[in-house]
Amino acid sequence: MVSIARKNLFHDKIRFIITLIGVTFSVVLIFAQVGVYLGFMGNASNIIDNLPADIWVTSKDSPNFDWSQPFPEGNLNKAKGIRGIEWAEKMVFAWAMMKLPNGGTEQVEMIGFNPNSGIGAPWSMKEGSVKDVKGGKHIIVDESVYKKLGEIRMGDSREIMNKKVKVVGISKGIKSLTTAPYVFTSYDTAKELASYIGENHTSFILIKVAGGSDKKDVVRMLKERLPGVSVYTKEEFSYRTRYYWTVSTGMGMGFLITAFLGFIIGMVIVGQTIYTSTVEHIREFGTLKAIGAKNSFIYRIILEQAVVNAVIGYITGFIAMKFLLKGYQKTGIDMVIPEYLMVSVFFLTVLMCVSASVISIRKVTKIDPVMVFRT
Amino acid sequence: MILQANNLYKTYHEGIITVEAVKDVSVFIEKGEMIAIMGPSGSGKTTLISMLGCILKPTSGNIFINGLDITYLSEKKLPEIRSSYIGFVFQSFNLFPSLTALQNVEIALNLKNIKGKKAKDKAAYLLERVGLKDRLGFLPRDLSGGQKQRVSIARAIAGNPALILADEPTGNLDSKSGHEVIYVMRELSRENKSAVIIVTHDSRISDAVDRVLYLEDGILRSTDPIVGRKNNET
Ligand SMILES: Nc1ncnc2c1ncn2[C@@H]1O[C@H](COP(=O)(O)OP(=O)(O)OP(=O)(O)O)[C@@H](O)[C@H]1O
Ligand SMILES: [Mg+2]
Repeated sequence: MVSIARKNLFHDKIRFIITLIGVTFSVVLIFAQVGVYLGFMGNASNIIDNLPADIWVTSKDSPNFDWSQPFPEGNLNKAKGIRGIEWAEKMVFAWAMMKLPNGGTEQVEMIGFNPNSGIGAPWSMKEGSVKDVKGGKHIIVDESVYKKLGEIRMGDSREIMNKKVKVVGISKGIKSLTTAPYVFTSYDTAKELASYIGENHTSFILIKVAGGSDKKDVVRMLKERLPGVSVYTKEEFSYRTRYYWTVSTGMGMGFLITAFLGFIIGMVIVGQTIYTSTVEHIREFGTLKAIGAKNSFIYRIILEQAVVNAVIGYITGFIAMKFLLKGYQKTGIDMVIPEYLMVSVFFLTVLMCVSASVISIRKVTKIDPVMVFRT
Repeated sequence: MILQANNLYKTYHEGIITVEAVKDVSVFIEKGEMIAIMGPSGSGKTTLISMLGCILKPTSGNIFINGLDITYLSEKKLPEIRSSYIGFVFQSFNLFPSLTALQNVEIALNLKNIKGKKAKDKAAYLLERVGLKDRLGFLPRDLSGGQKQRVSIARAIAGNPALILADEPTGNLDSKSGHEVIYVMRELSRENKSAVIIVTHDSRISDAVDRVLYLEDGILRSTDPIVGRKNNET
């Protein structure tokens, strides 16, 4: 089969390049927006996703990880009394201020875990050991915080809530979504530093379901036995947190709207060039009709042009995205491009180009082949 | 009889003006016959040939192709009729500019569901027959007017149509190339037993054809005043 579509497409090189730039631009924009969004969302729920608990007990209706309130510690013992639980552990979460070496202060999100069980401790360490938070006001910070908290080395001293703390460990890749970085410390130290939590109060109870027990049953029993708090599975609480940041704050919507704009801009550019090309080749389409081509034959030509634009534009956009990814990594912004996103953006690009050619298809439907005899 | 048209009328409406471009024209063409339609500018030649080629609906009258009444067939069925029975040659060639000479002929075969090597071989053969053996890979812009028209003749005849319609095929050509084009068209149509209708201003062409129909103000005249030959149709 002779492909008029590809011949016409490559015949006019300048137009082809303009179309490709349009498609590439929108592919990159969509990848960047959704990728950065997914990066943020990964950070939003990364504590929940990475700690070994199956069930999270939080203050009543806690909308997300970072907004949790203290509740009575007595719930821990009640939880421990429920059948089907392997372990239950308390964890404190508190907002606090850290004094910087240059005199300023910076807000931090403090996480206090039980160093004996290690549940709630950072799961990926670069230097030091999580056990070292024991026996003093010892903290672990993430390697990524130097932008906010200044250069931090093992053994450095800082002040949190006017009390001196010592850095005993550096974690790797544990970032918070908010502007306040995570600081890990022992349960007791956290409560001492952030006294507002209150004695006999905790922020979370983390629960592991015993092998062979049904998680749903355990959740149901916890809900019955622990009024005044909320019980979520890990997945529910993770989703709740991400939903909060995406929808309730509108932050996610901002990203998605920009991605959608990228889609529309791409569609307009592709639609424009395919339409111009269709109009320019209208006589050829008329001739094709005159010599016996059905409308469907001509639609296929236009759709083939759209799909070729989409495929090549996706490939160049994908390559450009890889470079952008490297650039973002250097600036410390997380951009996450999972495989399902690559596949979805591909189909989105095809959809974009195909829907962009709809006006052109309507145009050729109306071509009257009688034009071919007019000079 | 390959083509029979009875009492064709075509009225155009342009705003409040109506133009009766073709009035009560009846035409009969036998298999393998070659005829010319002549007449002054605006006499309705293009209108008539468009109706005969199933790309323009008559206001009234009937057209039979191969005994089949195609006059009021739906738009959906007409492409099929055109690709099965009719080949077109245009004054302005209407070749596909991004396709080579070979591909321009090939695509007409593709439309008739002849594909791949078979289509390529047949297209190459036809181009050889019109004297363009060494121009197969040329784009239309690299061909002379006469060569372009020979490509379009090869394209028109590719699907073995029973009828070839040519509107002023030599209109854009110098007289030597025009002559060659008519010669090639006659040779190929004879070989293929296709009937040919040529619309032309060129009275010399009338010597090469079996019959001449003369149109004036949309009406078929009995005599052709230019060559003074009896129009044996009416
Ligand atoms: N689409 C149209 N709408 C309105 N009037 C038309 C249309 N097409 C043709 N006409 C008119 O119909 C008449 C016949 O036109 P047609 O093109 O058939 O003549 P022709 O014999 O082919 O002329 P020429 O030798 O100049 O090509 C002319 O008066 C023309 O203006
Ligand atoms: Mg004309």
